[in-house]
Amino acid sequence: MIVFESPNGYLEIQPRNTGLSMQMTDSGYQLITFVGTGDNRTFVANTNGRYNAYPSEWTENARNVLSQIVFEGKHVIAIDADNQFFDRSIPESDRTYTSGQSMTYYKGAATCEMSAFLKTEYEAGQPVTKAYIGGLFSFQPPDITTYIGTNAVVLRTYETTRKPKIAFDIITIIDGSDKYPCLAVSILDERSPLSAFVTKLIDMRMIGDSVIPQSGTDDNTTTPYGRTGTYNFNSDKMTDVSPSGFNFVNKWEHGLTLYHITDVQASAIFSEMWGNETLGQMFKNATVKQIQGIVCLHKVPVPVASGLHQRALSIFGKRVYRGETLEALNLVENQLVKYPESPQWVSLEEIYGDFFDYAGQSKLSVYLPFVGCVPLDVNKVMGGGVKVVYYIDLLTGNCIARVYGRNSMNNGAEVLLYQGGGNCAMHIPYVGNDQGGMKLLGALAGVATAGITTLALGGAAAAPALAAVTGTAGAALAEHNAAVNNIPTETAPLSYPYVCYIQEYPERLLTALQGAQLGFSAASGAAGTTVSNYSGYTQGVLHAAIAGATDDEKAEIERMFAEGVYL
Amino acid sequence: MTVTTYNTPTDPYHMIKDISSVTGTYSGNVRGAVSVDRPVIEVSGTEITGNYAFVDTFSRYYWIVDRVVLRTGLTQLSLRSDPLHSFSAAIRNLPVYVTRTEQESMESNGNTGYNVYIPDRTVQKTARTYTKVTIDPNIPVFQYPETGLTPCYILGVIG
Repeated sequence: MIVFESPNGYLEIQPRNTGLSMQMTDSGYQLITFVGTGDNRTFVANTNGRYNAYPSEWTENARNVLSQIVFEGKHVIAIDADNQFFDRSIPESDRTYTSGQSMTYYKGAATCEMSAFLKTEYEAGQPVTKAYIGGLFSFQPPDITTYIGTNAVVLRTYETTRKPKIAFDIITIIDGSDKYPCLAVSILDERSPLSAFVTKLIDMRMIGDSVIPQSGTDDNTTTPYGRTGTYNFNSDKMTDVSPSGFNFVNKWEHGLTLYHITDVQASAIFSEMWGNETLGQMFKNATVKQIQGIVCLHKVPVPVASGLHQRALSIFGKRVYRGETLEALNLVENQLVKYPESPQWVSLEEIYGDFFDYAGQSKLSVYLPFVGCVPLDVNKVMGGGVKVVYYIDLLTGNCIARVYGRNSMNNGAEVLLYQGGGNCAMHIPYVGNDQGGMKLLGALAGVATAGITTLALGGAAAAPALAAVTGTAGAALAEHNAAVNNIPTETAPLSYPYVCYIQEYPERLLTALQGAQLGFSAASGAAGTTVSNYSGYTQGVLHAAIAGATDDEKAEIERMFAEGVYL
Repeated sequence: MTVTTYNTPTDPYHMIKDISSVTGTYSGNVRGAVSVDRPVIEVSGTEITGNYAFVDTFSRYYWIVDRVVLRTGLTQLSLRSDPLHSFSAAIRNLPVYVTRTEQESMESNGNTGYNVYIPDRTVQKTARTYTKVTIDPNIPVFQYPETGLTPCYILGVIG
């Protein structure tokens, strides 16, 4: 139960027996930490969410406002025969729900200003759909996954005072023998035409940016074929880590410096180098030496952060840029760029909702600009998500793309599926031919699938291609992939510029008579399951231990069940 | 013994047959030893119809596989036991491991129903495929800056 207190302008929300705490101040409110327990699981999530809010006048009436929560999720849970579920006097033990009864929530609500929120109304018993909540906190919760239950919640709108309201709670969802926690966030913005409390459920197991260790032990339930494989296992995540060591530019006075310059500045530099001297003077003054001091000139297709400024530029003692009369040169702040800065998961949902969405039937590949089209193991992302992040070296234009996947089978553990490199720089020629053995850095891209290339200064050979970390080869995609992977040198800027996920799935034929005539694959036979649990077409194995039946009759029964009978 | 005959349209693989259409009730006799599984029973009458029968003495249902009309005004019925219907109550209590069913699972763990994630060769597909492309909405397009007043070049200088 959430209890609101309001001393001295603070609103502290502290559900009983949980560590959820928030403070609302003049400048906003910050979700600090929340810790919850339930049914042998301990989860911890840390996040900072901050948005505009102001302290409200928390009156007794406001605290006791009853609100009926509209659930928007798939299947619904929650019961309380007394319909006084979130009343503070209800002990925690009553806060677990069991499917089977109608539900009405009563909840006290804080008042705070929020951005407008979409409102919908639902009739009682109406099937619900997946809900999505985003932008509420600094992290981006994923789409809400299926919530198991059998009853639709009773939904009613509620008349309230004309102030936006928000309420939080931790609820436990019971799904058969499983129990797991969800964060229920209820908001109401009566300034909108429709006045209805809308509650979103956030599956606490799927909070992306939070660390949610799951405790639990192997239940050691044994079967004749080993363990059940359903124990709670702790899985590490292959969390993205930025490459290290890219900090040697802009460090020494006469070392390597990267500038982020305008067209005007570039023109001024090269005019100073080439435009003001006769040919004889150029050689006499060894102007050509200055060109050897330029190691790269290119554009990159990502935002570049600039830091400090420099008014003048000299190369090997010759002033090539006079900042006294021109705008100062920007220095590149970081040699390594992470793009996007905050990678997000993209959900890949099942098309059919059956085995046709998985390996052997469907295929998945990802097109990565400057890298190519690579197959992915669809089993590792289907029903979950995929995430791409680029790391770009501004000095060379080399880039590496990492593809992460997660699915719902293994509690959403993140796996690095693929990483591959290329070069994304648009190299600008600044010299006619090789000068004293120096090579343009631009000639590095090669064929996209060649993997990471190296700095041409020094002439090291290109590193071998980094193969997919895991995954089905997807041989059938090879022809397609080869067509998009043939990216010749220096044409990276001409590459298709969007990261795309390409799903291929078959045209499935399913007739209305399929089930009644042939049935569908099953593997059901839990302890206690008998023939009486089934109806319609049924095919299986049984031992006809029937008193009074002859051996031939028993054999006949077993044979017919093996062929399929209609119950 | 009493033999009740029916006309049932139900095929043998249905556990419970439709026995609403009774075609006759007869008194039956057997000569000598008789098999419970495949009895041959003589009943009075020569116009016996029906394809299904119940014999009270054996407490079983049978398929009528042959009818032989005798000169004595009797008809000899050759029967074959239908154990599915005869022992349906006992069969329902038997544990069973189901490999195919038309029943949708009523439980989240897939028990007592089919599992859509088990590959099923009977579900047909064509040679055609669909292609769905999803552009990653979280990664802005890679765009090279246009030349202009804002910085757009990376210039590397050494020395």
